[in-house]
Amino acid sequence: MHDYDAVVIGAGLGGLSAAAILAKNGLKTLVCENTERVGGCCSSFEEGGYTFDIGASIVELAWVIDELFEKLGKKTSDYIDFIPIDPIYGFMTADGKRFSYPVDKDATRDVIAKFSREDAEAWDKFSKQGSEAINFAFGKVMTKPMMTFTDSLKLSLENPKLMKYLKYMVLNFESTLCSFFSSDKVRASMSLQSYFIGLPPALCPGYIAFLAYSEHEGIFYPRGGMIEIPKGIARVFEEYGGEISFKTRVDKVLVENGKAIGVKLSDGREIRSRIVVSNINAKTLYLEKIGRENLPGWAVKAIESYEVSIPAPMIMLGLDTAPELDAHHTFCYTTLDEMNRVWFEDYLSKKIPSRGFMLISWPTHADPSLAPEGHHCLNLVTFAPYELSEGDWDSIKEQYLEMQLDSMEKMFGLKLKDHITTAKVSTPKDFEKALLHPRGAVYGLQNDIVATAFFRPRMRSRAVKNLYLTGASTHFGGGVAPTIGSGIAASGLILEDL
Amino acid sequence: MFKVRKIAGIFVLVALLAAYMRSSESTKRYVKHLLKQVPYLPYRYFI
Repeated sequence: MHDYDAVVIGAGLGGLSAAAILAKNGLKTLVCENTERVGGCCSSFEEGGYTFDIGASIVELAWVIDELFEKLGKKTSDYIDFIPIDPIYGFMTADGKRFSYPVDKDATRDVIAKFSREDAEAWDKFSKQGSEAINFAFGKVMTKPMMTFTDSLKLSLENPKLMKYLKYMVLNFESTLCSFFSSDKVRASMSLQSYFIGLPPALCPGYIAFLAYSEHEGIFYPRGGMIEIPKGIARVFEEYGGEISFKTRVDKVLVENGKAIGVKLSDGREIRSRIVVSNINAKTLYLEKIGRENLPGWAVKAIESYEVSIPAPMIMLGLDTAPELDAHHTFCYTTLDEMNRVWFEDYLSKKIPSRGFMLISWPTHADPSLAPEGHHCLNLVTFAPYELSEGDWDSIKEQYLEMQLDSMEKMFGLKLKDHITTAKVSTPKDFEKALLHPRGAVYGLQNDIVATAFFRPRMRSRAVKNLYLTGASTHFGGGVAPTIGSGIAASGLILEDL
Repeated sequence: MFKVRKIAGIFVLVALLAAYMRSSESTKRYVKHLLKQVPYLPYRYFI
């Protein structure tokens, strides 16, 4: 006897999206969430009158969200109020210069022309290919399962244009950018995106370079904070009769004769279901929640072989004044070589990068209601190892905050210290504990080409029957749109199977 | 026939090696990073 048709582990975007579609199709669905809020990495919390985002700070490729709401028979705007963001990025350079890239492609071309006329022309070519890659290639693959070589071959034969982008699977991010642009400044201004999938430009696949274009298709911030996206999806889910149980930790996935039959909670309760959907990291799912004893040897080898991405410790600041910034996102300008150096010399040696390498997110620039009147919120997204060669994260929190603030002041002239009313540091250990990300890897499994598409953990598990995966661990990878896409794709498979 | 295949195989290997030697430091790092994971691909394909 089943208690539910589907139990979903984790109320992240992938899990909620799948759950909402299943509920709409009449399946009795329960979402078990470890924390007290929805969203996983795309969430927000309130402290001292400020609303801080936990991880994700912007939405691009918003059409995926529209596709989800369409599938749910709803209109996105009835549930989420998106504010368009412009400019996309501000840049602070060490010589005190500032510049920004607006959403408008021609206006961005004018900014690039100030650095290099040749690169301004290259931008047109990059935009054209980027537009095709994003709208055509990403559009075709992001919300579809990609579990086998045949899936990929079929998709390629149906859409021969996809073949054009194969070379960007073979080239790395750095080579792709360098094949378009010659100015170091322009290359660097489009390189941070490689770290959005948790890899440096030298190790990141080339097609990710087109993210630097995708932002020019429009980026958005949800009014009320990033949590408003999962909240909107959760509302639809509940309207269709779905249930969310907060502070409900799943200890084990119950497996009988190689089939998932439900979950065991940390309070000892067992919930039986026809299928189990996981929205947690695949390593945590297979190695901890299912356990090696329930897996064939090849599955253990496979899951152990995946590397996780670089952790992104976050510093959340409440300020009593507006910061001297120009955009929702500001990148503390770092050269391409330096970004690679951070990985190969600092990260791999378990050292905290010695210079300010970070993305600053300023949500109150778009939505002042996130802070008391006249006050502002800033999120500093930094990159650092999980294990440290000296000290441990719990004992260096204060020191880390000081170090990053000093670095920003000295290198970029951004003075914040005198205006801080509240400060919080989320370390890799905090991310691991709260969001079950092994080694605090908020970007999930590394997303290189040997861990992409049919080499990424499948949405329909082959190791355990009746088990489905959504979220950053499966195809298409991390990010707001890709994880929602995974929920759409996985729910399609489930509905086919049941 | 076997001999032709063997020679063709050696030729391809030499060509790949030559391409690798001539590639940039960044490409070499990328190739090494991917090659390291190749032995696990048959397992990954099925998970």
